[in-house]
Amino acid sequence: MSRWIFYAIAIFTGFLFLAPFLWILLTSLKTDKDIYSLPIRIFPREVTLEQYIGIFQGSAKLGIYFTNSVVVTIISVAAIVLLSSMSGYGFARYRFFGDTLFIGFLLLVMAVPWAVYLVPIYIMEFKLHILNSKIGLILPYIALNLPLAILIMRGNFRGVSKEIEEAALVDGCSVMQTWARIMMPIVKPGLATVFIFTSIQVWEEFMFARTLITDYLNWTLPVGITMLRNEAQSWAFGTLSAAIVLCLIPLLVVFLSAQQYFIRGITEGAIKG
Amino acid sequence: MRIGLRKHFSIIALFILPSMLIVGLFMIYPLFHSIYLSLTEYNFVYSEKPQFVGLGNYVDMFSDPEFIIATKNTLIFAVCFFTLLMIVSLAIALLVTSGLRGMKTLRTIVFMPVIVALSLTGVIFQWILNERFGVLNHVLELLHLDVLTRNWLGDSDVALFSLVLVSVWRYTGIVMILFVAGLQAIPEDLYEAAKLDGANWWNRFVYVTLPNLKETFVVTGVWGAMNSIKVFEQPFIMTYGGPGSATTTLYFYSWRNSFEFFEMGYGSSVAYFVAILVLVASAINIFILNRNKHLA
Repeated sequence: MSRWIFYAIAIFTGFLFLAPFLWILLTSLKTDKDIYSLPIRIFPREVTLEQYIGIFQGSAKLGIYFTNSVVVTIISVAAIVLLSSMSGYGFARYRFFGDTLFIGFLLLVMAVPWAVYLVPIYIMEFKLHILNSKIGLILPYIALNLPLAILIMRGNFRGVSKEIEEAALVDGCSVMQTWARIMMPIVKPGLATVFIFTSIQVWEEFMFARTLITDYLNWTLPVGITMLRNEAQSWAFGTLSAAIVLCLIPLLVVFLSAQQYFIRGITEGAIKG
Repeated sequence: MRIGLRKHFSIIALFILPSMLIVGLFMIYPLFHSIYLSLTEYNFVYSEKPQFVGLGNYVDMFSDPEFIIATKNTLIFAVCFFTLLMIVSLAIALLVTSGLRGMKTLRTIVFMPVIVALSLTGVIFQWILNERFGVLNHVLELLHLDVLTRNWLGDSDVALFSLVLVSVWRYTGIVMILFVAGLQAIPEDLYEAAKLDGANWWNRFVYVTLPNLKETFVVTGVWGAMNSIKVFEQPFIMTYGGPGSATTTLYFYSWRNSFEFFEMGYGSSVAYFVAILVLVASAINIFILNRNKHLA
C-alpha cells in the first residue's frame, strides 16, 4: 500500500519539475492568439511553428548572441582545460617557492563572491579599452574558473602513481612529452569533469556578461534573451519561448547523453571545492 | 614524492606561469583593489579618483534604509530557501535511493533544471507566474483553489517567497545528487543491524542515516549557504528588486550601487558585507556539524 503512495509522490514530483519545460515548449508552439487568450488554454488549438520562424525573420540578433556565446565559451573552456591540466600537473608533482601560498590563494579567491572582482575588473578593462569585447569576457571567465579546475586536475594527477612518469623520464621523454602523451590520457575523467562543469558555468554566466558588455551587438545569449524580453514587454512571449527552447535543446541533448559526467562533475566539484 | 626539480625548472615555469598570471591579474589583484575601493568614496562617473574614507562606507551602510531592507530580505530569503532546499533535496534523494522502479528517470528529471541558465529560468518563471497570463494561477483556478491565486511577482508580500520557490526548483537537482552520493555510501549492514535491534523506519533514519550524512551536510550546507546569500539573477531578472524594495537582496543591491549608481566604493563595501555573511554562515554550518561529531 505504501509503495503506491511513494510512486504517487514520485510522479507528482517529477511532474512539478518537468512542468515548466513542458509549458515553455507548449507556449512556443502556439499562435499569439492562443498565448494571450483568456481564459488560458493549456494546449494549442493548432500547433504552429510561426514563433520559431519569427525568430529568424524578425531580429537576426538572436543568431549574433548565439555566436557570441559560442565563441566566448569555446575559447574560455579550451583555455581553462589546457591551463588547469598544465598547472594541475605542475602543482601535483613539483615543489617550488610559493606553491603552497598560491594554492592557498586559489582557495581564498574561490570563497569570495564573484561580484567583489567585478568592480576592479570593470575599471581595469575600461582603462585598457577591452571593455565590451570578447576578450574582455574571456579573460575573467578563465580566471574565475581556473582555481577550481586547477584543484580538480591537481587532485587527479596526484592520484596517479609515479612509476609511469619516472619510467618515461628515465627513457628520455621530456616533461612535456610525459605530460602530453602519458599523463593526460590517464586523467581523462578529470578533464571531462572540468570541461563539462566549466562549459555550463561560462555558457550561462550572467552578471559579468551583463556588466562588461555594453553594446547590444556583443551580448551573450543569456543577456540577449533577457534584453529581448525587456524590449518586448509582455507581448512577445511566443517568440521568447521559442528562443528559450532553441537554447535549451542543445544543452539537454548533451546532458541526456552524458549524464554521468555531469553528475560526477557536481560531486567532484563540490567536494574538492 | 616530488620528482627532481632543477633540470625541469623552465618547463615548470611554462606549465604554471600562465595560470598564475591570469589568476593573479584577474583575481588576486582585483581582490586587493576592491578591498581598497571599499574604503573609499568613488563615483566612477563623477569622481576624479577614489577618496579614502576609512571605514566610512561600512558605517554608512547601517544608516542606509535600503541596505537594512536588503539585509532583511537576504536573511529571510536565505533561511527559507536553505531550509526548503535541504528538506526537498534530501526527501527526493531518499526516494531516488529507495529502489523503486523508475527512480533513475526521476533523478534525471529533477536534475534537468540545473542545466537551464539561471537567467533563462528567471524569464521562464516570469511567464509562468504572470498574474493574468501565467499558467500557475490558471491551474489553481482549475483546481478550484482560486483563493491561492496571487500576483506572484507583483505582490510585495509574496514576491520574495516566489523567488525562493523558483530557486528551489532550479537548485534541488544539485543538492539531491550530493545527498544521493552520501546515501549510497552508507553500508547496508548498518541498516540491517538496526532492523535486528527492532528499529522502525524513523529510528533508522535518525540514528543511521543522518549521522552518516554528516560529511554530506557539510558540503551541501556550505554550498547552500553560498547560494542562499549570493542571490543576483533571480531578483535582477524577475523583479528588478521590486515591487518597491521587496525583493532587493544584498548582492543585487551591491551591483546596483556599483553599476547603476556608479558608487563603486560603496558597492564594493556592500559586496564585502555579503562575503562576510557567506563566511559566517559557512563557519556556523561547519561548527554545528563538527560539534555533534564529538557526541556521536
